[in-house]
Amino acid sequence: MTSPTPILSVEQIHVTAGSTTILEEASFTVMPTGVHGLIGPSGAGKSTLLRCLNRLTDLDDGLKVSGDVRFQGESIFRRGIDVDGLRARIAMIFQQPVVFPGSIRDNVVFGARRVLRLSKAELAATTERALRQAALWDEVKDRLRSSAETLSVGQQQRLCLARGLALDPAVILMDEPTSALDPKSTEAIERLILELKEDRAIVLVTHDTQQARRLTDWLECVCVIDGAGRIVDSACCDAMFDSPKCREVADYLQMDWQQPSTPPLNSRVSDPTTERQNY
Amino acid sequence: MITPRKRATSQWLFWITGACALMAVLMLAGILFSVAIRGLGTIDWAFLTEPMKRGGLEGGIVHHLGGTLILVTTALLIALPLAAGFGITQELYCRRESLKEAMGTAIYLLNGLPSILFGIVGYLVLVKWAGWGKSWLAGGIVLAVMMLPTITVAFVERLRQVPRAQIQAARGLGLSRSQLCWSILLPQASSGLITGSLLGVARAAGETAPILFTAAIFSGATWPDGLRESPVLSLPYHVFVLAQDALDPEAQDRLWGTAAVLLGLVMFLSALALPLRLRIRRHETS
Repeated sequence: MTSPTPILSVEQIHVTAGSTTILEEASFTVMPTGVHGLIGPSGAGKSTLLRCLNRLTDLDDGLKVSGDVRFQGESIFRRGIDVDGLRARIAMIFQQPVVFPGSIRDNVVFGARRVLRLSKAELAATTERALRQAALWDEVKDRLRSSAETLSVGQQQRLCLARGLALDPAVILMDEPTSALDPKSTEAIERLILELKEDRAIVLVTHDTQQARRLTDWLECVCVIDGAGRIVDSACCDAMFDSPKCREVADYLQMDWQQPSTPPLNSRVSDPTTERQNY
Repeated sequence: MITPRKRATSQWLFWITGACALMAVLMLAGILFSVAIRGLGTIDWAFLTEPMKRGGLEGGIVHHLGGTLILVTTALLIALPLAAGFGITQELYCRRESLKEAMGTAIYLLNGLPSILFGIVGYLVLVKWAGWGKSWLAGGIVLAVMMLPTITVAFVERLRQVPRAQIQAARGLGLSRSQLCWSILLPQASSGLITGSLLGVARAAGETAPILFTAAIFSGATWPDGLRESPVLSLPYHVFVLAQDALDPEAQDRLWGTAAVLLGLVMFLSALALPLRLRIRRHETS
């Protein structure tokens, strides 16, 4: 939260599918660095909200989005905008890792090769940089030509991250990136998120409140009110957990507290580096 | 709990479905056997490489074989890009569900049209109106239109199996629709194009009605040397004409020989693509 100008500002995003309202008037701003979390119960529209941010919602038939999102000051819904270029600047990591048929190397440069039109030498350099950034280089540097499907699910998710990073995006959107992963891979991804947030913005959807506490700097809590998702609270991470402003947030956090595996909040250390020892 | 009655029903079902499957296999085997036993004796090197003599009673069928190959190759070269374009338009570019369905219905309707109709339309439009006369290209175009639904349907089926997650991931990286098409859709759905092409070619190779008025003659043609007025000989038409002389035992031998070659050609085409299809499937499942 060093720079005062937000990189993304979401202004009254309203999403409907037919006659159903999915998301009602969501507004928030994302700073150029740091992790911006979206938490809330399943089905509250967090993922849809995330997908609005790089217009992936365009691919969903029947979804109507109104309101505005400004990326680096300019509306992403303006006429004549290069949507593909926008998506290359705002990468998306999905819940399940999606690898393309082909080698590890092919996967890393899948977007970079086509969108940035890099030369062969640049591609090799990009492959190494992106894999190093995704902490996967040491594990795969000797088998870049083998099929990406031979990787473990955790490695595949880091490969997807590398694929996004190859495009050097300003913002990375992550939709519950660790929910399909084992604890060890989750730890690796979480460590990466903390590294990557130093020089870019990360918008993280999670319904794991512990993870939110470990990773995020700022939180939006999305809950369902009268059938539609709504941002009910927006606060810096500690404030959200320590003094939730409204009942929905308290209820949501409360539900999670009561799960036996979760230690009581006040006993938890806020420093993420020590927190990770839990795994 | 499995009661004896349920077990008996299950047994019955097994036998009935098994009998149905066996029936289909037996029919195929019967056709193959009867064509082979009558036709194989006629086939030798000379039969395959010599031109026809005495109205098909002597000589070989090299020009018929060549003519059929020319017709189906022409048809495939025309139909393949059209089918790919149609499928991509329907699945990738067409956003309105109603239009998508209309396109699907149109292709099924085209598939259902009687083949003689294609022949007559081809005759009126290409042979007469365009003034081409009987020509291998006219026949190729008519056969292409006939093959189009087969290839398109197989391709679209395959396109729909491309995981949505991969499409989203590719678009999420900033790939345009055409880049998505070249990098994900076409490579993954190419097996549909291959399967469809095979079925289409196999069907087109045996079609008589569409080329009856547009491309094929019984005798007097060798290799085409132009576009207009350059008809070809063909295997199915040869079988058709010889079958009308069914009383002549000499013609009978030639008829079954030609039929066996036609059958062999179709089976050879399928066999040719089998390893390719298996390889693609293995790649997909691995």
